[in-house]
Amino acid sequence: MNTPIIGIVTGAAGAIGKAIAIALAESGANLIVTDLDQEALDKFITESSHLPGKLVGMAGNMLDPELGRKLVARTMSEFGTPNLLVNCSGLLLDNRIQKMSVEKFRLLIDINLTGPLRLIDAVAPVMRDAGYGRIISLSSRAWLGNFGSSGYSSAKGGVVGASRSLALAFAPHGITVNCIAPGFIDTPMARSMPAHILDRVVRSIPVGRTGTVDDVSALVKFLANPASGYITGQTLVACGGRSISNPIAIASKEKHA
Amino acid sequence: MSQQSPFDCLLLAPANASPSQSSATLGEVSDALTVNFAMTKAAINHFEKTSTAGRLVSLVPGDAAMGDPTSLIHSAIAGGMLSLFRTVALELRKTSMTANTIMYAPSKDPVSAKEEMIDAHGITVLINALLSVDSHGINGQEIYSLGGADVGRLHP
Repeated sequence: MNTPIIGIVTGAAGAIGKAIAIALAESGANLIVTDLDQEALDKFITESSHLPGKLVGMAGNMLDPELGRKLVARTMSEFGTPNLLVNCSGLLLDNRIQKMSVEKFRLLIDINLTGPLRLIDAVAPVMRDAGYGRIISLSSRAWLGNFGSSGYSSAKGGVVGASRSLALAFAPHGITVNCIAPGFIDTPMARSMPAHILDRVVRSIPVGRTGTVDDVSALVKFLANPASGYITGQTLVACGGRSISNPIAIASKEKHA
Repeated sequence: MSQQSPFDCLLLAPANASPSQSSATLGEVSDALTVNFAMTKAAINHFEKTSTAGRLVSLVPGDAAMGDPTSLIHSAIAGGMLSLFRTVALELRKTSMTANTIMYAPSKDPVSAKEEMIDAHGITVLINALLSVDSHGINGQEIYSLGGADVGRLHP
C-alpha cells in the first residue's frame, strides 16, 4: 500500500516536533505544522524548504476549541484529506503536589490532554470516511509516575488511557492510535538543567546517554507508515531502559552488598 | 475535611460512569481530574499537618482503565488518575502516607443505569487492607480486582 502522508504535526516549533516534521517531510510527507509562535514556524519552514515534502505553518493555541477544525480545513485546502495526526505540543510545569496550584494543574490537563483529544475529535471523522488514518500522540515516561510532575504526569496518563479507548473504537475503520512515551531527551530545555542534575539523570539511564530527538522521530515515522497497521493502542516507551531499572539504585545495592 | 474530626483516609472514585455519560464532554475530563487533584492535595496537606499516616485510595473502573471503546471520557480520566497516583506515591515514598489504586469490575443496574460494583464485598476487604496502619509498605500499587478479566492483556 502506497499512501502518501498528508498530516498535521503540533508543537512543531519545539525540538522534538521539528525533528518529527523533518523526518516525515524527508520521506515526502506534506504537513501542516502548528505551534503557538508563527515567527518560529516561519523560520522553521524556510529552513526546511529543501525537503521533498511540503510544510505549511499555521499558528494555533491548544486551548482554542476550534483549533482542530481549523487545522483540518487548512490541511484539506492545501493537500487533501489528512491521514496522519501527530500530537506533539505540550507544556511542562513541574512541582510537587503540595506546591502545584489547582489552576496550573488544570492548565496542564487542558494543554496536554484535552487539547490533543480535541484535535483527534476533529480529524477522526475524515479519517473514518477515508477508511484509513494514523494518530500518534506524544505521551511521556512521566506517565509511569514522575516525582514532581503531578499535573504533567496525569495529563500524559490521560493521553494513554484515551488512546487505548480510541484505538479500540477506531480499529474497524482502518485508523490506528498509538502513543510514544519519551524518556529524557536532549533538547535545549534539558540542556539548561544544572550540570550535576543532568549528570545524575544520565547515570540513571541504563544505555548511558540521553535520548535524541531522532530517537523519537524514528518511532513516529514507523508508526505513521501504512505498514504499521497491525500496531494499535500501544505506548512505546523510548527511555533507554530507564522505565525498567535504575543503574544508580543497582550500584548502591551492589556497594552495600 | 474538618480539623476537629479524625480523618486519615481519602477514597476517590473518579471515573465511575454516570447516567449522563452519553452527553459527557472533554471538559468533564479536565473537571474530574482537577477536582480529584484538589482533593488529593488537600488530604495530603492535612495528613502532613496532623502527622497522620494517611491513606489515599483511588477506585477506578477496570474497563475504563484497560480502554473502553464506548467511553473515551472515562478512559481518559482513568488514565489520568492512574498516573496521578503513581506520581503521588513517589512523592509520598519517604513519608508514612500511601497512595494506591484499585481497579474494580463495574456493572450497570438495568433499571437505574447507575454503575455498581460486581464484587463490592471483595473491594471493601481490599480497601480495609489498604487503610490498615500495617499496610505502610504498600504504596503506588495498582490492584486489578476484575476476576481475572485483565489477565493476558497489557495493563496501562
